[in-house]
Amino acid sequence: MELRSNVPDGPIEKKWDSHRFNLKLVNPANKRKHTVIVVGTGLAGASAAASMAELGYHVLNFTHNDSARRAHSIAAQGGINAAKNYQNDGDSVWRLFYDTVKGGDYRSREANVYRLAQVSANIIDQCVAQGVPFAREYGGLLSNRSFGGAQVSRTFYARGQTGQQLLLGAYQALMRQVHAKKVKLFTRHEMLDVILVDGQARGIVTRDMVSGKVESWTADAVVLATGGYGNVFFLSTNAMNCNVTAAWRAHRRGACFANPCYTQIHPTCIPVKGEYQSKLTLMSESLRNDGRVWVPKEKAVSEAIRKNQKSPNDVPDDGRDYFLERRYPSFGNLVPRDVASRNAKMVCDEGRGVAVSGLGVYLDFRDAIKRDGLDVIKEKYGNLFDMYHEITNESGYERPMMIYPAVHYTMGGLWVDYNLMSNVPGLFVLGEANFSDHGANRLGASALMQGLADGYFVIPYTIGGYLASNKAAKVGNDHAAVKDAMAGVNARVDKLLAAKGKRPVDHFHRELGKMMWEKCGMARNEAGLKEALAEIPKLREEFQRDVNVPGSASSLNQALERAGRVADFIDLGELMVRDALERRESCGGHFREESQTEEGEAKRDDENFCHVAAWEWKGDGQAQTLHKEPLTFENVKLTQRSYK
Amino acid sequence: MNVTLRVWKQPAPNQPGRFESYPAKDIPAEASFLEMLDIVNNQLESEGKEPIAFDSDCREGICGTCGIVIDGRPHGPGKAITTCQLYMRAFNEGDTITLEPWRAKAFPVLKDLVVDRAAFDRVIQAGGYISINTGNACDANALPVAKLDSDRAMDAAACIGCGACVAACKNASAMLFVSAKVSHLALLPQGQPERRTRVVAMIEQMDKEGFGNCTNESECEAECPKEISVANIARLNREFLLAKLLT
Amino acid sequence: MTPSSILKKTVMALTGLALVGFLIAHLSGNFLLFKGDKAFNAYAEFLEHQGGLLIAAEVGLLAVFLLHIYSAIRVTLENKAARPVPYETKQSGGTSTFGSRTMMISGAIILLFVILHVKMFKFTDHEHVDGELWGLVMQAFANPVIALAYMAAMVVLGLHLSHGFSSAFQTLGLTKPGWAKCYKKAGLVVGWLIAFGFFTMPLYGLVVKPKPGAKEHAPAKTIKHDENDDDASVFRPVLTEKGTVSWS
Repeated sequence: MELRSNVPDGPIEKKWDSHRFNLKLVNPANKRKHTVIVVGTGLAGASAAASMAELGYHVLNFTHNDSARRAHSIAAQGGINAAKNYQNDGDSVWRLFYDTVKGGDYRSREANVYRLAQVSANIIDQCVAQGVPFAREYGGLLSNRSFGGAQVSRTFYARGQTGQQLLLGAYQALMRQVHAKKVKLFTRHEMLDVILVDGQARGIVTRDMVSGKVESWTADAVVLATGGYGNVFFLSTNAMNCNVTAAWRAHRRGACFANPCYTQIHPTCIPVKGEYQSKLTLMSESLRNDGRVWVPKEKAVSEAIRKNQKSPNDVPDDGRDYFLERRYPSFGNLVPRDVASRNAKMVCDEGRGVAVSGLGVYLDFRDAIKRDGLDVIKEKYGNLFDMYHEITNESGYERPMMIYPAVHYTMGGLWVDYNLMSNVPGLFVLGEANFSDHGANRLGASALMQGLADGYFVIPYTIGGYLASNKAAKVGNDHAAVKDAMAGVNARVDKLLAAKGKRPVDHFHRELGKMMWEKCGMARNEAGLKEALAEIPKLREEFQRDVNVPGSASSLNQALERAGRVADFIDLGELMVRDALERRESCGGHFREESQTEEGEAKRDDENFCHVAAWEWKGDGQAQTLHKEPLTFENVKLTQRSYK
Repeated sequence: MNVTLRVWKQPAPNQPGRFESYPAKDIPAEASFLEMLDIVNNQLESEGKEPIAFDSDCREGICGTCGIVIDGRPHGPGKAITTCQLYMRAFNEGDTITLEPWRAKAFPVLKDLVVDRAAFDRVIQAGGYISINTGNACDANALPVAKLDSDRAMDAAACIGCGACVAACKNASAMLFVSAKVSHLALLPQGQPERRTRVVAMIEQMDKEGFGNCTNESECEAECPKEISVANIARLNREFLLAKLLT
Repeated sequence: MTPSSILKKTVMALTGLALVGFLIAHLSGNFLLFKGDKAFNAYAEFLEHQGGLLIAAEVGLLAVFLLHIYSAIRVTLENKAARPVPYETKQSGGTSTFGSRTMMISGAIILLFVILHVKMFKFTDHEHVDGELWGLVMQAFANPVIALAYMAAMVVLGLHLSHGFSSAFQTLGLTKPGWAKCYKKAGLVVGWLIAFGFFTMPLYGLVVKPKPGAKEHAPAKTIKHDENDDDASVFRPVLTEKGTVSWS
């Protein structure tokens, strides 16, 4: 199989324009004859469904949440990047493009990233027009801040709730189309399979999570905007119900899964408290603009703090190691997420960590409060401090906050070409669910940008190009492929219910998560990965035998929902490990201990690994086949990333 | 710590429900309330019993999915929090804690503590948006917005649509929710063209859904996890009356 | 088409405010009670001589009153229907008040009071009473049962106004952000002031027991009182020979 990226020819600045011109158009009168299925109602899904409906397509939109407004995009706090250069500080499309490629450690596709930077400005315009209440200056114009990894202020924000406001904007656009009857919205419906007819994606199978009814839906194209798979680690900053099932079902139907090992570990999360913990809470990395990260210089001091014999406030300045400022003088506390995370892990591994578990570093606002005053800090970060206080019962104003890295975002995902179409014709993948724009590491405030770019400004064009050039006969619900997919879903549900073992679903999820975090987390090595590769099949077998899913398939059954997702996470985990093992270099969020510089920085191997690893499903019990899409960099010179 | 839960159990919509007791044993005091429920559910599942059905997603207070009336308080004791932000340290050893779903005609129970809040979506569908197709926008800075207006719009837009206002109101009124969206859009220049039609359409839908009437007691504001102010309800009333008078 | 929820509430608010307006006018006039029988009776007579105007005003007042009651009942029924399954445990978040929670009860008590009040003072012949209307009122208040009942009713009125008055402004949208605490307090103060104003009158009657001014007023005539009157409602006035009224 050959993976064709379909990147248009010509200079990078002209690619998207010329491609849009070359894409075939669907006649306005014909658009209403086309049905498009969109799975997911996050930033990418809602914006795609609304925009396509505005164009005239008939859209069926599905979400497993009880409302389209609940998608996890809502939890993004910090902001959204756009190359507006409103601050006159030297930003440009080219700079945003450059920063994103560099931040992604040269493992993303140049053309996609350039397009992302191009449309970033349109996103802000669109969102403002929808009424998104971005932060403003007293003159009434938009305010910006700088964000991790960038030296210009290009991040637009709405207090600490940027994701919420952007999602509500997209949600409202979607609700408008539901009202106009151009979008049919199905909430509490979980997608459990993709239907392929003659190799083309022509529909999906869903389970109504309230009645338990398994149904099929057919269309001319299927768009997946189902988010990332960070919950494979059990503990992550993802919402409880985020899952890989939709993407994984598509993968099992032939869509290649690209770079699954690229996971982003976010440096500013609240440290783990105990075994019972259900998820990790992220605090916006905007905190790093004013907070200073440190641990005690002496192990003994850290130990005393851990035992509550000493207060961090009593550690004098010369006893503090501001390790990010020390090691990266020019970026300081604002180094990219992967670098900040790894350094936190390093100091904790040295025994200098501070939380009870020893896995935590300080994020200290003492100096910022001294400099700007408490009111300014409260105004900027008040809600984050409140959140920290609620969770830890400690005040971040009085005592430095404790943070530790946690899984936050997955750069990998289903492989897509320049049109955001997977290798399965008619199956498009948007937002975090695809792999394309962030390479091996995503910069802060770029996820919102990508989700909305894909939904508002890419798919509305490329879907037309596909539909105009693929005239296929309508598929009825009695088609053999539809029946086959339905039967498969029903059989799978029955199997999960039939095990009736001794352990709850969460047990297996937690075990998988622990294994993934230890062996395929912030730092990976061959031995550990090989161990994981041996252990996962055992866990799968144990799961199938010993899981207990009470209740029936014909009603609301949350244990059943979770069981299906965990089964897919186990399979995905195995692939992640395989991908991490195969990629014997360090890049971005993927850190192979065997491949590092003398100073302990990630060391890429461009000669052997400057490619996208796309894995093709070969059947249960068989290893996936690896396909490589070579990455060429014509506009950005490959250099070793340095934030010194 | 050990507590006893009295939980509303209802197998399906339109079926009778009743309270059942569950012991919650050896719960770490640092656990969140929902983590406590996870522990109880894991225990139930390993015994092959049906777990307590409840909604939750982000577990950081922003998605608006969770919502349980705990000891008579929507989202439980504590100010400006969602159920997922409630911690067991708010309870004492040996407490009996009563868990009920949001109760409103417009929010039918689907199972146990899970309710259907689609009525909120339908209210937004009726007009809670600015009609602008993708691609129509002018430059974002072409339209300055006074900071005060923008801040007030943001205050209102912070609503997470959890429905605690309805649950808290003795009349199961949705006025706080509706007023938040109407205020958010009415305060911004972008929202002006549809200002009059929007409020009328949204109120019409709100009434259709079977929510009660506002009796200005501010219980909604007291339980709102985002502290949305009832000043928005006054604004909604004003917007509605002006819309009726002027159009 | 049924009127929208806000419209119904607007009717409540507007009629409520109109009633508050009436109360203020009524109260101002009634303060003449303290000035003595002459001033008060002259005022009463002045009103009675307005003829058609008075009747129009009274009919209007009755209409406002009935509309207020009708909206209240309708809104309450809808509110009950909005939560068919009640909570087993429900606690207040602390913002509702005793007054706000009992609007229907206080309203019902006030309605009952108004009926008795009108019957007692408006539809009772006072021409032959010593001190005329003033005398009728003061003699009634001299009766501790009546005075205390009146005072209790005024407390209930205060309770009703303590929520109702400020609530009307919220319903009409006549507030702005930041005023919330302010207008609620103002509503509380005005509501209780009105109630207190009325409260002082039975108190005055009960404690001071004032007599009509020593003046040349016509000797009391005997009014015909049908002994077989079946309308033996509470507080039936019985005219004594001395021109005073006792209440049976």
